[in-house]
Amino acid sequence: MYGYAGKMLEVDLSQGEIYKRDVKSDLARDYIGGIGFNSRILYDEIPVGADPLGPDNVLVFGVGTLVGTPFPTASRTEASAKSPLTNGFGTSNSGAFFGLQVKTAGYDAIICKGQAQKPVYLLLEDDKVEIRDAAFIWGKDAWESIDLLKKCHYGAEVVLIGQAGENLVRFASIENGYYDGFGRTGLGAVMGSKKLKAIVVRGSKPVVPADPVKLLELTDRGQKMIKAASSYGPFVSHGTMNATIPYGGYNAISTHNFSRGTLPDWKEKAGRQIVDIYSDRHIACQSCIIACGHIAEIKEGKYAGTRVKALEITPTVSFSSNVGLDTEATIKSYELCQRYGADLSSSGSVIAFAMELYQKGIINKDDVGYELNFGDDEAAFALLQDIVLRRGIGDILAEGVKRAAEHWAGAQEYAMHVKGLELPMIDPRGRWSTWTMGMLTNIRGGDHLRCRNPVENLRYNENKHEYQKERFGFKKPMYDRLDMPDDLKAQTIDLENDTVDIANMSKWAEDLINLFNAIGVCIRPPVMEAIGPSILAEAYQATTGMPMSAAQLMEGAERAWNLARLFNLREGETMKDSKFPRRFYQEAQSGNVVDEDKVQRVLEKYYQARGWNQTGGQPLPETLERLKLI
Amino acid sequence: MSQKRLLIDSRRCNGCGLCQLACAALRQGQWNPVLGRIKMIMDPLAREFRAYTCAQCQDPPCMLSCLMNVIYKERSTGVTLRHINGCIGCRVCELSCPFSAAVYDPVGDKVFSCDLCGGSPMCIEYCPQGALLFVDSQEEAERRREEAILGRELPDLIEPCPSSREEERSCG
Amino acid sequence: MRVVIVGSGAAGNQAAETLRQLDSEVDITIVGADQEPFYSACALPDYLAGWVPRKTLFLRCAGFYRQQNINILLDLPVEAILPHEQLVLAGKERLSYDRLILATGSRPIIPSIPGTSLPGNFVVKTVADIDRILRHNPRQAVVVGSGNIGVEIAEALQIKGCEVSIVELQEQIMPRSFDLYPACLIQSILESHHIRVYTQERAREVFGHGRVEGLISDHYTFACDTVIWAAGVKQNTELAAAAGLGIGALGGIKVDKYLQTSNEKIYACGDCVETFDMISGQPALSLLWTSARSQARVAAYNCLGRDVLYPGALNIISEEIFGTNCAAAGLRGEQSSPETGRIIEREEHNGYTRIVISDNALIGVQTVGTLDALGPIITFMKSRTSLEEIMRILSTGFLLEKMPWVAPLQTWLSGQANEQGRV
Repeated sequence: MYGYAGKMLEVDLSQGEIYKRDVKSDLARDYIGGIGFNSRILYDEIPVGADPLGPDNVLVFGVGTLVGTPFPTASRTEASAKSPLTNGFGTSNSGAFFGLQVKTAGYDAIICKGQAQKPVYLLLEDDKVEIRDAAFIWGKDAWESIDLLKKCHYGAEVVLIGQAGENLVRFASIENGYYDGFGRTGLGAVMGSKKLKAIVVRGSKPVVPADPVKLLELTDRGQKMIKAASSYGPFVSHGTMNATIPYGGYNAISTHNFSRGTLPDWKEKAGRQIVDIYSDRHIACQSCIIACGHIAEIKEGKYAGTRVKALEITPTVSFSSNVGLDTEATIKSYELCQRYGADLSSSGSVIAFAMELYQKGIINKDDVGYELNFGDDEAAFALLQDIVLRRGIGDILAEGVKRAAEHWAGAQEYAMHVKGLELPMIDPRGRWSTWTMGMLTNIRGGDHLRCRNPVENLRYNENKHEYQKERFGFKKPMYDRLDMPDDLKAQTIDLENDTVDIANMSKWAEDLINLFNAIGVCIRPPVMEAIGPSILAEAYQATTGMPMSAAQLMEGAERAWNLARLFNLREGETMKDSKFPRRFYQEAQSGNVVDEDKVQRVLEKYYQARGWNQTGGQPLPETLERLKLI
Repeated sequence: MSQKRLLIDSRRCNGCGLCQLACAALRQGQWNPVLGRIKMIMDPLAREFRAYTCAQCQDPPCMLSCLMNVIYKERSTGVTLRHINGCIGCRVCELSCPFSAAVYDPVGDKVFSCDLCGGSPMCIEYCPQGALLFVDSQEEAERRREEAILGRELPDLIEPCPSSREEERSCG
Repeated sequence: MRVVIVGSGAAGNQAAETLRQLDSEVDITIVGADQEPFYSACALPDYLAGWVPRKTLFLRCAGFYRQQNINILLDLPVEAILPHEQLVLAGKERLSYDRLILATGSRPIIPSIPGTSLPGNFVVKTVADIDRILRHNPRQAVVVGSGNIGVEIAEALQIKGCEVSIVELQEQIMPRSFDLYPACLIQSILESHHIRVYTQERAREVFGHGRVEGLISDHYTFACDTVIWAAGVKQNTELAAAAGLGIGALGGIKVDKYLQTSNEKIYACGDCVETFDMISGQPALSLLWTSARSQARVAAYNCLGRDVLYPGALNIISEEIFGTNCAAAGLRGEQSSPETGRIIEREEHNGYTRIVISDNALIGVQTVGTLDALGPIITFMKSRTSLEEIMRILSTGFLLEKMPWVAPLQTWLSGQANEQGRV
């Protein structure tokens, strides 16, 4: 089989046994790769009601299909397991160089099962697979552990957990090298529960595409398309921090646990100009032409000497605006979270949650041990350490906001999560769009990264009472360029009234992002805007030699999404769970609350667009039949 | 005579690895980053990847070590080249290279090094950052490499250790 | 200016080519006893195994010498050198010279024990030797000596389907290059491919009626149809001795740091000379291709009056033994100083590495199964950079920026290696 490595590695940590499975060509065709493989494996192999932190949970790393080719931004790997936060489908995506090494070692996926007796790490060097004793790195932070591992395994790539994962902090992340990570949904805790400290991979096998010449040509074309995208220039200069300007302006970034409007100094703290101040160096993932990552360096002051890949919008807002830290402390928080192996977004939310409880008097200094006010960096970092090491109140907060809120009467009001996953930085009261709608429909809970209108126009925010539509705001050429089937495009985008139908767009965008995550391409806005299923189908064909159309690819992505939905329903999720925290419906922000009924209507329309039951969100039999899931 | 050399501007390089992948694919016919004649290496202090490749030594140690006499200097350009058909894959040139810049292809059982693609390095086309430059001479390459290093703010300058090149000069 | 080069091997050819590069006028004559044109001696085992075709062995064609304007007289043994008349006598030729370069090489040693003249006794030195072995088509062979040539020949014969045993006098194989432990690793690779290895055994007698039928050693009797003698070489110094040139204690032609012999018009290079080790500075015979070529370059420079110092010979070998890469460079553990010597070992499943440290510098490295980062290690070894300096280079971002290729070394030196206090 061309393009694929052709093997999946299955590691049974309980028995210490290693199996290799063949990747069947029908699985490859129907599920593409990455998250597609992951959802099939999770659905088939995790028993219903399994404890996410028990031996029955299965952790899968699925490498994107195009990884290992120079197709622009093809570097992504998807990690999935049953989430200890949401008890549903937990999944997270990361780039850098890990996927490339796994693929060149000869695997399309790594499946970790069972639970080791003592701390171990997994070493893959091409065909050699070993489960090794990890006593010498257990208890050490992620960066120290990588340093030690790299000394033993020169040139290898490492994914690992820090102390947060070891201590089963429910929002622990799996760190991917020093700076990247599979952040959300607490996969680090799953890895920690398996006593698997790290996976070390070094590969030296070729990736064999079916048509290398065509693939190079597509690479060239893809690069040109991305460079022509309207967001390419801003992304090269400021990365994701660009979005702070409109979102800050619309009062739509989370501030002090969503309890107030944006801070007066948000621009200085979290505006995109901090990139110019703190960073002069960009850092790329494999095959990326954008290099949106910044190396941020603090030269003087309290945190002098901090040097870290930082300044992504979500974590920056999470710490600078949500917790209220100043910029340098925010950059420091990156380092701390990356060392501890804790999800940056959730950590910020959990700290902000605790701070609001303190402010409201639900917890006091005796509970915490120190004062816990918004904006106090030392308190925030002390609390973070307590959480990661599960000391005192940290032991409760390490369970994530949903579970922690059950400990204190009245705390539920302030637990900002959807389905158990802490909300990221966007406040739907400030700006309603496909993006915010996506936080409700996301298979992994309250997160914004699985649904985004590829042609979102950030300049407009006037439809305060319209929930079904958002403004399109572009001219005809953009409409024409959007790679979407014509009939669907006509249904979704109304050029005459200049609107986008949110329900339809949500479905399309979710499938598109799922496709990106399956095929291994990055979902950064310039790529989303420029690269569509058509060129991906060509690239898939050139890579694997299997005939593939854009529609088939989108169907594969939809299949994976539905399978994840089925997984969640099997675990007991209902339509009632697709709800924002009460605060969004009741407490006005910039004179605005979210209208619960109208959101419910959009949700119903979305279910309809998906071919799901409108009263419960179960996929209808005809949908399952269309997707060949029954 | 053209004495053009490949220069890697590490200030611009952000480690995407496209040059390595493109080189392996175009020159080796295998999509295997391990076979790129331009390589990525992790700088353990900065924790970043940087590219490096054959330095085109004036008096290359690999040339002397070759058992089959396949490594030679092109007279007009001064580029180190290989009569690759004669290579028997003994890898002794890999040992003698102070830069670890030689690449062993286990499939063909041959060792390769950067030959500047015969005068128009293809990796340059693939570098999205413009970090790869094709400059006019070895001296120019060295001068600009110095410049790039000095352009970075670093605490104190330390004399570089005697490189093999200086030593080789003493014997010729 | 007229330069005569005696010997047409690696050193002789390299000397001629270097001379021609430096000076297009000088009159160059190579005179040698070899019948074949210049070939790669190191690739002979590969030719025996069938990996390299015969014609690939030959590195230079007649046209090359014509184009380079080098006179070459093959199959013409030199009979005498008359240093006073500055004449070389070879057959009917009387070659006068202004400078003479001796590159007479070496020949394999066959010990004086019974039976070594029976058909089935072979040495491995020239293409003709391999041709003879191929014609003989060995089925059962004993290789006496386990230097790198011995091991490579054993491997090649095994691949040809021959049953092979190695008999080694010392307590380990490859005693000139490897320490005991890595040598044992290599021995186990050989044994896993059904090559039997007998160490601390001396060959006593070859027996047979009209052909080789067996070999008797201290403790064993081997039934075999072939005996390969790979137990070292003897320097061809007879011509030099007859001409009154000085001969060193180790048996090679004595030269100074400019590779000049005791006669100022005569230089020597290649297997036949006795130089000194680059690292220890002790007199040494270096029988390696790389050394021959670098010596020849130095000799050629000095012939033309450009004073160039020879930096010394570095023992560096690289072998692929049944797909496993083994390499050794510099000195062995037992050659390190008793007070300051120590050894760093790393054993990963993809390879074994041993770094020998003495007097605060790297003096040797041996690997089995990996070649990672050897280039920088050997470079530091050659430049005799102190350990502090190496660690400083490795800990300075500035220098890493300039020389990223040294980064792997940091992991080697400070890594989780088993460190031994002494050798």
